[in-house]
Amino acid sequence: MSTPAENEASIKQESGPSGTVQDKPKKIVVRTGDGEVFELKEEVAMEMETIKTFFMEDNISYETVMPLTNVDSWELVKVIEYCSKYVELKNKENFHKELKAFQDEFVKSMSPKTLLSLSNVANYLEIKYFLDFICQAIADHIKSKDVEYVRELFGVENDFTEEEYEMAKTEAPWAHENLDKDLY
Amino acid sequence: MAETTLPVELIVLILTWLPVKSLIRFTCVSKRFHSIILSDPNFAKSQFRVAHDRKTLAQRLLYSSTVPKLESLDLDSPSFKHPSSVRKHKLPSAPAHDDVLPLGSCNGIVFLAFDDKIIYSWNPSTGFFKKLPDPGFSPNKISVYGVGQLPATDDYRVFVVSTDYADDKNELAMFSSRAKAWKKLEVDFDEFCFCSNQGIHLNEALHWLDTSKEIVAFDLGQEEKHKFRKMLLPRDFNDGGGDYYENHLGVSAGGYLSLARNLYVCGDSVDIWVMGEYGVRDSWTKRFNLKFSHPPRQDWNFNSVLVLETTMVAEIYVHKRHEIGRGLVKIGKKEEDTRSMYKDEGDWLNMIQYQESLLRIED
Repeated sequence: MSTPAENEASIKQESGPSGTVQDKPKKIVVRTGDGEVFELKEEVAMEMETIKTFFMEDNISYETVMPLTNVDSWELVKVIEYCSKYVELKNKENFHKELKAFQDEFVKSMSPKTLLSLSNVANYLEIKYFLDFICQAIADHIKSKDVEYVRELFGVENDFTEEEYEMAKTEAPWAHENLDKDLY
Repeated sequence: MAETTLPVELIVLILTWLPVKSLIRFTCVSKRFHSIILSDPNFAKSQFRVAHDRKTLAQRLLYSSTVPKLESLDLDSPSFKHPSSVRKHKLPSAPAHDDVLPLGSCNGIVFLAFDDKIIYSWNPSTGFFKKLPDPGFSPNKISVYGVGQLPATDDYRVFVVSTDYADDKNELAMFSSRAKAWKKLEVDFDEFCFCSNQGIHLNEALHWLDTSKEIVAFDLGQEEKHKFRKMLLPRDFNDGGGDYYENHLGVSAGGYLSLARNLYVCGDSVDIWVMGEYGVRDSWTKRFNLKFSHPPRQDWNFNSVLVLETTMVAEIYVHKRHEIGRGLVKIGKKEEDTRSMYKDEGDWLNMIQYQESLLRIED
């Protein structure tokens, strides 16, 4: 039979690398490229494969501050917002409906450049469902745009000659009809 | 992240979510985009899978005319009437021909028969066009046909019956894209008399209605000892008394075999029956009724009919005073969904439905 003192010691050991008392939610600390430090709830942080692998693979202590040099603070704010919501809705009955409503709000006032930055971050942090969502949002945005718009957005150079371009275009003139006549 | 351009694999991932029309346009963005979109079979497969799962595959109606030409219409848009919605197709390098017959389509790949003898695979969206080996038929008419796929092996199958009407002889053959070859089929065919030429593809089999009031199916995966299989129509189906009905097979929403039935002479409504459980006779139920709300005042009847998921497209003949007008009609569940387009030039031969994809038969 163990003494109360021994019990407490063994509880401390079992509570994990953070060394806190068992029932306090675990936090993971990261530092963004622009120097800001964020505390993430463990369940939200574990949605990001990159973070999960960093801590799990070599059993790194949660006391370690993980550097996310490729992520800016505003981007991480957005990522946390999405993943927290996702985790919250995940097991609910109206998951799809509520997620859709949230998604629509989330991208509502985002510029295409913002979406591109977030896709880069989602790719880097390896959050599959967030990556799919952002890519889909970008695709929806560009689907009725013209060729020049897409070149500018992705920073792609036109390496066709005038002739080659015209030839490619005349192969399927129907694809160049009924486009958004707008906005850069 | 700082002002970086996206890595290629991320751009490709974004492109995967786009519909085919946008992608074809973006082949003009750069040579790299052109190559990714048109020359990468993995990209084509990913794009198709995503669109298929999201149910955003664009559905089109392809029809051939004796003029000769191939045109297509958007099946998803409400209006058939707009001339601008007609897409004229150019075949890259077709052989000289009088007739072109679309045999069917699967996953966006269409198979065309020229003058009943030369067969090509064609993707109307990408323009990819490739001749199939010669089926080796005697020079006769292609009478019965169908296209399908065995998804497990990504094997496209083309089934063709060539008929010598004078001697009442039939030759049957099936093409496998995986084997890259035709196989002559030794199969009893004489007992059948199909109501339509085009086989309906479902569950890796082709289906036709036979005049003896049953469905005859051919399983595309058969390797040897090929035979047809029969399926029964609903009980009491033809209980119309003195009325004469026309029946057409199709596939309804959700992937069920469906049957459209209308009165032969100028009926203005069509009943759609659906086989809830494949192969189970008692699972046939009359699901809905489509009203053709503005039939022409003159005499008319249905010619070829395509039963689609929730609508029906029919070519109709209108008997005007000394001529026959032809029109394409789309009949939907709601009155507003009924759209028609009348044309008077040429003879319309055949219609098939196809989806837009970037897929092709690989070498």
